This record gives sequence, structure tokens and C-alpha cells, in this order.
Amino acid sequence: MVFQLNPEDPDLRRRASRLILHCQHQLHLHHQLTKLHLPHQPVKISFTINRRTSLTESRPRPPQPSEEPPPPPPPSEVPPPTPPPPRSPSPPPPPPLSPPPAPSPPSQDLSDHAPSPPPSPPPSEPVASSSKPQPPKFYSLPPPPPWPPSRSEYPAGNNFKVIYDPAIDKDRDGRFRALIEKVRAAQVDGTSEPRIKGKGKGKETLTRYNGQVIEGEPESTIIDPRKAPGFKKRPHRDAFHEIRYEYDPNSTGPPPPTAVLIMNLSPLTPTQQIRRIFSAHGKISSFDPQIDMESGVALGIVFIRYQTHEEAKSCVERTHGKKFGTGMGMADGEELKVVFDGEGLKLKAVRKELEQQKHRGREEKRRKEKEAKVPTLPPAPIPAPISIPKAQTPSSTHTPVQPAWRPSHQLPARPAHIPYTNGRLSPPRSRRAAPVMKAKMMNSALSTRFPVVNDLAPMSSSHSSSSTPIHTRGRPSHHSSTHAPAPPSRSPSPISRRPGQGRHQQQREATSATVIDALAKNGFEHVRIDLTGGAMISIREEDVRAFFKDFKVDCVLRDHNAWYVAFQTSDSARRAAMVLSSRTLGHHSVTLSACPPPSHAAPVAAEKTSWTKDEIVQKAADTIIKELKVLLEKDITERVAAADLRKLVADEKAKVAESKAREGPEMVNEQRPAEKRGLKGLSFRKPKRIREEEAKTAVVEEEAPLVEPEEPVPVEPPKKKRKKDLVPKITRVSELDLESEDEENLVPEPRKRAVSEVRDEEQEPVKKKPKKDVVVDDDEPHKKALSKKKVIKKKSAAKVVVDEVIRPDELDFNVPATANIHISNVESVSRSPSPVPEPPRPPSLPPDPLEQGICNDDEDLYFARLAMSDDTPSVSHVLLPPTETVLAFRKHLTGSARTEGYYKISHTEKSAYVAQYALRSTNVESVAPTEAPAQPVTSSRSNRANARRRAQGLEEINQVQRAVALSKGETAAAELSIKFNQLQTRKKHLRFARSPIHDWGLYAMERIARGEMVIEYVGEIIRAQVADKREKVYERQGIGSSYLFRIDEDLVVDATKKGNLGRLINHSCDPNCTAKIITINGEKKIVIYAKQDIELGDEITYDYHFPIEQDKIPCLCGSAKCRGYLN
Amino acid sequence: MTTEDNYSMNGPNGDTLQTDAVVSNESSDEGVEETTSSHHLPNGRMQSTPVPDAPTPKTDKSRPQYAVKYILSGHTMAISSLKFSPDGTMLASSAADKLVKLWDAYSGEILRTFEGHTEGVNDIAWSNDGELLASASDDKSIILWSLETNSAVKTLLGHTNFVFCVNFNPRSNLMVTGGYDETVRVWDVARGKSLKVLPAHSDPVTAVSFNHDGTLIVSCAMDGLIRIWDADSGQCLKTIVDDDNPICSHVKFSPNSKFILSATQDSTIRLWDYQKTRCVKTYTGHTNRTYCLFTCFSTTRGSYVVSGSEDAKIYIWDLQSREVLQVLEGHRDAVLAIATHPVRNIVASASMEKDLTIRLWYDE
Repeated sequence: MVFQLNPEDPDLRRRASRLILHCQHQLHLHHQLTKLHLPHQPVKISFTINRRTSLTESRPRPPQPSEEPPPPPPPSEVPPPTPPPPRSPSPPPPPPLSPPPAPSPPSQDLSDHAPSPPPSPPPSEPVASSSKPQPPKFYSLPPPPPWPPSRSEYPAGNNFKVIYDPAIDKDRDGRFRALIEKVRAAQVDGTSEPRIKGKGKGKETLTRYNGQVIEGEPESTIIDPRKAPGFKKRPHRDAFHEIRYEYDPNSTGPPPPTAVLIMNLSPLTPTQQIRRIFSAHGKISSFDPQIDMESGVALGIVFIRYQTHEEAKSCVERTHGKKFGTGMGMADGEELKVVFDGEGLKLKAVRKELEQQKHRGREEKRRKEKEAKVPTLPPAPIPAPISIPKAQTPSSTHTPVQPAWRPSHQLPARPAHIPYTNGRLSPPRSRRAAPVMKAKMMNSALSTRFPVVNDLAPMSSSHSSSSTPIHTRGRPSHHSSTHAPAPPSRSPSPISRRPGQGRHQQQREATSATVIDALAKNGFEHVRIDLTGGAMISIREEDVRAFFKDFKVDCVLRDHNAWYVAFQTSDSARRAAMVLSSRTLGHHSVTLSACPPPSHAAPVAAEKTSWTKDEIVQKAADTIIKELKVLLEKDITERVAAADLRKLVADEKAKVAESKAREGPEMVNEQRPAEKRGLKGLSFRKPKRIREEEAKTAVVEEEAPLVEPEEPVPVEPPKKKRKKDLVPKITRVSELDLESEDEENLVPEPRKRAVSEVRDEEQEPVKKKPKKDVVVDDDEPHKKALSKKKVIKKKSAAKVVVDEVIRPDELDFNVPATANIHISNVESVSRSPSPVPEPPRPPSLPPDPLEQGICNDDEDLYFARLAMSDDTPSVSHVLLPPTETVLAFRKHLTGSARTEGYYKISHTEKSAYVAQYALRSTNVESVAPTEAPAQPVTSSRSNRANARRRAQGLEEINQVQRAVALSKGETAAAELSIKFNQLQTRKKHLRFARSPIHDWGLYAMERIARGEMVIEYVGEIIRAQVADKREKVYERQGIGSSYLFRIDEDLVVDATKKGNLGRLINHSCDPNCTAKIITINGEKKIVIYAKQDIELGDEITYDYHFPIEQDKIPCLCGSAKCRGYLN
Repeated sequence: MTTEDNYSMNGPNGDTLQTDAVVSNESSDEGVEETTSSHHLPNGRMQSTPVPDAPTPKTDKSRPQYAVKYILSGHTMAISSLKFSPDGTMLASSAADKLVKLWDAYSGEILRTFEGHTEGVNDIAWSNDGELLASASDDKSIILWSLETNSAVKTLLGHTNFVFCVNFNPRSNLMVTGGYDETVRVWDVARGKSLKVLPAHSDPVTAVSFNHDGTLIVSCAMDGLIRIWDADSGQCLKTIVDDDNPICSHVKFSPNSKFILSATQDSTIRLWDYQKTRCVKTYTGHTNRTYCLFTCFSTTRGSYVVSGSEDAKIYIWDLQSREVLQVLEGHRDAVLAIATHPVRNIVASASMEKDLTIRLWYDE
């Protein structure tokens, strides 16, 4: 049917457009829903409406038929408010391209059929537009005539066209004038309606009826305006227009929703955070996180009401379907679901759904329990679509569908656009809500068969264990019960089909792998933030970035249990860890740890999943060999290197004692028992036996071919090798002479703790190596040999017997007697930092590892061979670490730390295990070792006081600084005092913590600009004489660090007992602060000023400016400009 | 035997029976201040102890009469620590030979040997229920031994250097350790996880201990500082430094947790009122210059302070009068480890390399 509406009637227009909208909507819905064409209902509805408002619009336009494909007829429940269309026999309007034959005012020209001599002007020409329209006739709506009226009923003469209307058209060239005259002349007969109306010359209108044409009048041509050259085709629309009207009091339906329902939030997200996030879109007028009524657990659903619809809209637009990663607080990669929910209906529905699920879960549980009581029957492997409860094992997750609650499961059958109800809500109500829903939303809602389940499913299905505790009970089983009978494709939403736990594991591994990669690429230290599970989830990357905003963050990464923050500069990590460790991130206290960058070679495995048999064997062999290599390495380091070290220590002590007492051998002899004890303490015997066993079994099982080369061990001493060894020895001896001199000098130095007998060697491990040789080769070569022999004697005594018995038995681990003789050589080779024994070259005279000291006995040899037989390049990689560790930690001669008694631990030694020292060593590795001093130092700072006392220069330096400042144009003194006064009140935020330079250090907890005062060095002000006295007292008491700071000739500030943080500032050769002595109110004060900008977390240092002295204090500041010593 | 036996045991000693009974009965005389008559008991109760007897116990007859009863040998290297089990039936010993041994405290028989450490053991501690034994070792680990299963239950790793000292809290759900890595670590015993790392000192930590209700931790180190920590928060509440800053070898709370007994390597034992940061008693006479000797309270007979010495003797002081009441001689090397029996008048002591014996001294 065609409604012809008067385009001029505004009221009608409005109503009509509403109607159209409404109908369109209904049609669409039904079209989507039923997808059925009902052929027996040929009624088509097309609405035309002339939207132009201009009354002067004269150009006839063809009807604007709806371009949409003819929708299926609505069922009868779609009543147009206007006259009900009677089922008239009249044919439906033809498709748009063929003009309808029905008489319609705009298409009147179509019926003009008359010979027309003049060429017809194109319709766009002024000719056409200059005709004056006749008032059209309407079918008024109120009296509903039979529809559409038959042609005969049409009023006569309505098929007309105003060709010329003087009121609106201009007749410049007088063409119409002439035409009018012509027409008038032709119309004399007067049969038909007068074509010319109006009186007065020039005031007539010219009309054409029924296409009549007189001679000379341009013939009317039928022209489809759409085919005219200038016609612009409207873009094709594939959806109905949604027409929105501003909501006003007259509007029908509910007001535009200002509330949104947010789902799929992780229940662990703190509500505050949710609120914060969503308040970004507008002011929240009500915030209603949903909790489980029984357990009080958050459901991960929040109902938020904004103040305006726009805010709600922006919220929906911006957050719906977003994956906020973890930060947002949902379980991994969960998509937020944000929908309008103006009246809270959806919320209600969702809640109800959850309730039901829980109920079902409970019911199921109960049933299972019941079943569990029943003797279990063999489980049905796959439950049939309708399975019998009895066939179900309690463990099975598939649960039989119980008829009782089955109806409630018929969600698919429900009308799709009523998403969250169980059919309770009547369609009209939902329809009211529907128009405001976005088209996209609608579509998705329509495409999903039963949205409730799918919308909520992701919360539980993938993370059932973690995210929503309350759901775990009911939901999964519910899922299986509804989905089990159906093919998996029925699960409509892709969201619901999430990767399972297994894939998660892989993902985790993958992420951690990428994290490691990225960190390795970054190359600098990074900060690791360890969090507990909940906190981990709720913290977003932005949070982390904000947390580290003061530092140059390069990238922020995370894996399943920690955040990793990499920085653009090398020291940021440390500083950040220092500054931020005491703060909280997202209401969680975090533990920050600065970690060195991972090596690239970390995780290579894990991609392989399927192994062939050979591969497994290969892999197993590889790992075993690797292990054995490590064992060998450990063996070597423990037995050879460590033993030597220990010996060395003992020798050193002996030497010290000797030179101290100037008595020589007696002392040495005294020392010897201790040394022996130490050796005995190592007691290799027992482990060896065990290891032999292990090795044997290993050989039998795995490495059969590798055993064989063991047999023909040639015991010939490889002379070449030994010669080589001699060469370095000679050179070392020369070194040693120098060093021993040094030692002589140093020995008499007074010890602080005179009572403590046991002295540790006071050098760094690095220095030990050359020393060792020195000692061994120098003055007591025989002593070593002696001690060795003692050990050997025992061994060989046993061996002599054993050898003969064992050899015939082809036991692999007998020690050739010759091996013992050469043991005294051991240290020369094995002490090299990476004792990688060269693989024995088989062809010509293989050097015997035993004699080179690589191996102590056959067992070692065996392992060595085992390791060497495999030429993998990774050998050095594997071998290195143990050496380091062995060097780092001393072994107590007496066996344990407690029985060892007190000994001084040098700073360098500490750096091996005290965390913050280790940091330094990784940072400035290249610098630290080279500056290691050769002298034994009682305390790295014990002489600081001494030096200070002699630091006559300080005042001078200060003056120099002042001069420098003056030369820069500053009025130094005045400014300094001003600064001081100012900064008395405003203290810099500083913090003390363990320092890589020395025990404690002071760190900046805020940025300090250049020239600002950092802190005053506060302490008791005492006279120099008192200071001297105190210093001695402190020294005697063993206060390693001295805090005496000389102000001038006769005053010293002693911060040992009374003072402030300033005393903790360490020395650096490349400091960031300077100490200045300023006079305020006649009182001299020591004030530390920033020499340069100090970054957050930097350690504050200044140069102590000790005078050059004979006994050096090593500097461990680690800076590039380090002079090596404080004085 | 129980404390009541002291009556009969002490009865023959003569007229001091009455006094002894008073002192030994509830192991009461814990108070330190000589002037006050009210004393805190180990269990926190206040008890008014008759002071008038105070002078009389100082007579010869009131002195402890400890004598060697058993000499236990088994360790092959210097013995580092001795601890009686909470019920007093067993004595645990650890040594540099990597072993932990259990002895019967009353018969001197060896019961068990725990092997597992790869380096010498520095210290051992009993859990309060006597079910667990923790041993701290040079191999940087702490091993928890179960007395029930006779095996290692957990190995706690975390210290980056030798672990030197270990102690349980009274509930035995926490453990505190200190070591050469200069940190104090608090462990969750059940999970075997490190709860806190206190950057406590700038030298090896030599002793750590909980107070009687587990709210405080005291630690001391070779840097001479004694620090008191809040066990919950890990905050340092107090630092006690002696003027001379001597190396601190041992520290422990008094049984009523009002005082701290600290031994320093200037051959002095001090009793501190840590609330007032005041040294209230000083005990001298022994030698302690090198080793971290243990110091103990003995409350079973009278209130004594017992310590080993590097001159191979054992010194027993009167808690109040600071007088050396008895010197036990017999060891042939420095006496590092010492332990006092919780209920009976037994002192266990152990010596270093030249001796390698554990001696049980009875006063009965």
C-alpha cells in the first residue's frame, strides 16, 4: 500500500515519521527474527513522505520509495496508528524504477501524451521550474475511503502541471507570454478546463492538463530525474536509519539511560579503583558494586549511574569490549562488557541468572553427593544428550539435565533482544529499551543466541579458579549441562571459547620468555616488582609507569607474577629501588629489587614438545654430561683450588706471624698443625667413595663408550707441560719479591684488635692469586711440600695396598702412585681463574692431567675425560661459575664460622655476598678490580680520622672554592649563608641505606638542584686535642668509621656519638657534593652543598680531600675518576 | 626429676635448704635490681620474693656445686652449639663436622645423628614443642629437622653467606636467623619461606633471639651493635651500643624479657635494661676475645649467669651480686657452647678442637 501524505502538514509529517520509524523497527526486528517470508501475505507497506518543506518547491519529484528490500509483512500486531490498511486488491506499488501507473501528483507528467513540436527542455531548465504548481488535492486522512481509490474516483483534472506562474516565474524572453497567447487562441472551443487562469495581462498562470500539448508548445517528455546528469544518487544504506530525538517531556519511552552495567570485572579489583577508572568518563552519581548476597564476594559486576546520558554513552563507547590487560583488574585479557542499563533491568536479569546458576550448582552438588553414596557405576564416557543420572560418576562434570529446571535453560528460544531476563519481561518493555541501544549492540545481541550465559561466561570459564570464587561452583557445571548435548559450534560467542588452562601455562611461559628477551635487549638493570596475586591483577601498566615517573622508564613488562621495569639509564634501577622501596603502589606494598639483565641464553627449550627416542637419549646424555662436568669442576675447585687457597691462607698467616716475631721457622711450625687440621677437615674420602659409586652406575647406564678411554691411561709425566708452567712461575717470583717487600712494611702496622689471634688474609681475592704463588715458591717451598706429603703419605700408604688389588679388577678409579708425586705442582695450573683443562690431545703424547694437577686422582681424571670427550663449546660457560663462588667465600679452617672466631672481613670480600655491594661490583666491574690495593688495610676508614686531623687543606680548599665561586660572580659568603638560613627550615629529604661504597650511605629522596644545600654536618664541636684523644679511643674501640671533621685549626666536629645523617655521607672521587665551611653568627658550620644536580635515589658523596699519605686507604667509590685511594 | 627433687638433693647440703628451696622452687629470682623486692617471673607474673635472704645465699654453702657427670664425645670437629630440648630430656649439639647430634640429657647416651649439611654447623635451636630442630650452617642454609621422622623437613635458603645463629619464636611459627651476610632474616617455619630480611648490621650477625612473647627480636653483630626489632613490622626499635663498641658475640633476652644479656669480646657480659638503654650489671672474669661464646641464664637452682670462656673454663656468676660463684674446670680448650637445663641443675658445655667433648655438669 502507499500512503500518500500531505507533505505540507507538519503534524502529519511528524506523526508519520514516528510511525515509519516505529514500523521500520518492528519490521527489522521481525525480519531478523523470523527470517521468513510469508508469501500469503503479499501486503507491502511503503511509506513516502515528502520531506521538503518549501512550498515553492515546484519541481515534481518522483515518489521516494523506500529503498530497502521489501520487508516481510508484519504480523498483525503491528498496528499503524493511522487508518488501518484494508486488504484491498490493488497491486502493491511497483519497484522504484518503474514509475507507478497509479496517479500520484508528482508523476503527473507521465500521463502527458501529446505531440509536441517544440524540443522539450531538460527538466532542470528553468522552463520546468517556472511552472506554477496547482494546489494539489489530497486524500484527507480522517474519512477513510476504500483504499486506494479506484481510478474513476479520482477527481478530474488533477493531472496537471503548472507551466508558468507569474508570481514565481519570470518570463524574460516572453516565451511563456507567447505560449499563453497561443493557448488562449487554441482554447477558444472552451471544452476543457481553462488552461489559463487569472486575469490581467501578465498575470495569468499557464497550466497543462493531462499532458495536453498544443502546437508550438514544447512537448513534455518523460524524464527520470534520477537519470539526469546532475543527479546524485544517495549512498546505499544497509541498515535502517535510526532517528534520534532529543529527549523532552513529550518523548515517549524511558529517558536516555544514564546508567551503565559493567560486567567481566575481576572480582578482586578494588572498588575504589573501579570507581576511579570509571569516573574518568563523568561524574558518578551512584556507584553500586554487586556482591554475592550469601558470601559477600564481589561479583565483578558494577552498576554505575552517571549524571548525564552523554557521560554514560562515552563510558560505554570507550570501555565496552576493551581489554584493559591486567591493569583494569580483570583476569587476563578479559573483555569488559559495558552496556546501558537505564532502569537497572539488565542488572536485575543478570543477578537473577547468577542466582539460578548458583542454585543449579547447588542442586547438582547435592545430586552428586547423593550419587556418591550410591556405589559408583562405571562411568559413562560421554554423556548422552539425555543421560541417566545413575550412569554418571560423581567426578564427571557433565550433569544430566533435570527436567525440573530444564525449562529455565531454554534460553535459546527466548527472544534475543530481551537479553537478561528469563522471559519474564514483556516484549513491550524491552522494546522500549531497545531503540536506545546501539545498533551494534543490538546486532550482537541478536546474533548471540542466549546472551546471558555468554556474556557472563568468560568470567568463570577461563579463570574459574581465580576470578570468581562463587561462580566456580555453579557455572562450569551449568555450562556443560547446557552445552554438552550441543555441538561445540553452538557456543555462539567467541569469548566463551577461551583457551584452557593448558594454553595459559604456555602463554605464561611465552610471556616470561618475551619479558626476559626484552630485558636482555634493554641491557641495563631492571627493577622487579613482586606482588601477590591480587595486587598483581589490580595494578595497571599506567600505574606502574606513574610509580616510576621520576625515572626514565624504558619499558614496563609483566609476566604472571611480577612486573619488570627497565630503564633507559644504567643506574636508574638501583636508584628507583632505593627510593621507591618504601612506598606503596596501588595500595599494595611492593617489594622492589634491582636485578641485573638476564643473559640471552636463558630459555631455549620449551618449544619442543614431541621427542623422538634418539632425541631423548641424546638429551639425557647431554644433561648427564653437563652434570658430570659441573661435578668435575666442583671437584677441581674444591679439592685443588680450595685446598691451595687454604694452604695459602695458612702460609700467609704463618708468614705474618713469622715476620712479626722475627723468629722464622718456629712460628711456622706452630702454624702447621692448624693447617693440617684444615686439610683434614676437608675430608674428601667419604664423598669420594659415594661419587665413585655414582659414577659407576652412571657409566653402566649411560656412557658405556666413554668408559673405555679410561683404560689406557698413560702415566707418563708430560714434560712439556711442566716446562710451560715454569715460565710463569719465574715471572711471578719477581713479582713476589716486590710484594713481599710491601708486606714486610705493612706487617708491623698496629692492629686494632690486638687480641684476636686468627688473622685473615687482608687482601682481596683478586690479589690472592699472585700471592699464592709467591708464598709457595718463595721462602717456604718445602713447607708446602711437607704438608702435601703428609697428606700424600696417608694416601699412598693406602694405595700401595689397594693398587695391586684393584687394578686387575679394572676399576677405573685407582690412583697411580706417580700422581702423588706431582701434586705439589697442583696450584700452578688449577688456580687460573677458569680452570678449564685442555682436552687431552689423543694423537701425540697426551699430557697427563694428573700430573698437571688438574686432577687429583683417577676419579677426577675420569670426570675430566668424560667432560672433555664432549666437545661442546659450552664448556667454559658451565665451568666458570663454581670458581667464582669458591673464591668468594672463605672456608673456615675450623669447619664453621662460630668455631673460627672473629676475623676481619675486608670490604672486597664482603662485596661478594652483601647485597648492595654486589650491586656495585656489577655496575662498575671494570673499575673496581683494577683499583684494588695491594696493601692490607685494617679498616677502610680507620685512618679517616687521622687523615682528617692532618687535613690542613680543608679550610684552604674551602677558600679555594669560595674563590672559585667569587670568580663566577657570586657573592659567595653571603649567598651561602642565605642558602643555609633558608634551608635550615626546609630540609632535604634524605635517607640512609646500605651503600656500595661503604657500610652506610646517604641517598637523596628528592631531586636536589645544583648549588642547593643538602645537609649540615652536625656533631659535637670539640677542640683538636680532645679530638685526638677521642680518635684514639674510637680506634681502640674498633669503631671502624670515623666521623671527625675538622673545621679549622683548633676545632673539630665529632659526629661519632652525636650527629645527624650528614656523617653517613661517603667519599667519592667524583662526588656530587662539596663540603663547605661557612660562618654563621660567628659559628663555623660544615655544610654539604650539591655540586651538581642530584637525581632521585643517588647516593650523596663528597670528596674527603684527605692529604696524600703513606698508608693508603683504598677508595671504593667506583666512579670513573676514582683515584684508587682516599689519601 | 623435677624441681621438687631439689629439696632432697639440696637437703644434705645443710642449713641452706630453706633458701635454696625459695630460690629454686619457681626458678624465681629473675629480678635484677638489688633494691626492689618484686620480681618478674619468666612467665610474666610478679612475685614478691623475700629479699632478706639475699645476703645469705652468697655464703659458700649456697654456691652451686656443679660437677662433671657425663663426658660425651662423638663430634670430630669443634663443637659450636649446645641446646637442651624444651622438656629437658634431650641435648642437641652441633659442630663444625657438619653434624647435629642428639644426646640423652639424663644418661648421656647418643640418640641420633643428623647428617645433611655440607659445611660446618654454627648454631641449633629447638622449637618450643620439641618437634623441630633448626640448624644453621656455613653452607648458607638452615635445615629444619623433624624429631618425629628423624629427617630433614625443610632446607631454608636465602642467606648469601654463612648462617651464624638461629632461634624460634615462642610459638615456633617463626624463626629468626642471622649470618655473615649481615642480615637478619625472619622465616615462616610452616612454609619455609623468608618473611623479612632486616638489613640489620654492617658486620656478621652473631646472635638473634625472640623475647618471651615473640614480639621483639634482638640481634647483635660484630659491629658491636645490639638492635631490637619489632618482630611484626621489622622496624628497628632500639639500638644499644656500648661506649667501647666491642664486638658482640651473644645476646639474649632474660626469661622475663625485661633485660638483655649480652656478651662482648672484651671479656665482659652485660645485662642491659633495654627500655632505659642502661647497663645494669656487668659480669667479668672470663676470657672472651675471639669467639662468639654463648651465655646462659640458669634459673633452676638460683639465678645465675653461665658462660664458657676461652681459658677452657666455665664461669657461673650470681645474677644479682655479679660474683663468680663457681668455675668449672675440665675442658682442655676454649668452651664455646654452653647450655643450661630448663628444669634441672644441669649445665652442658662443649669445647673446641683440642677437646671435642661435651660435658654434662650436675649439681644434684
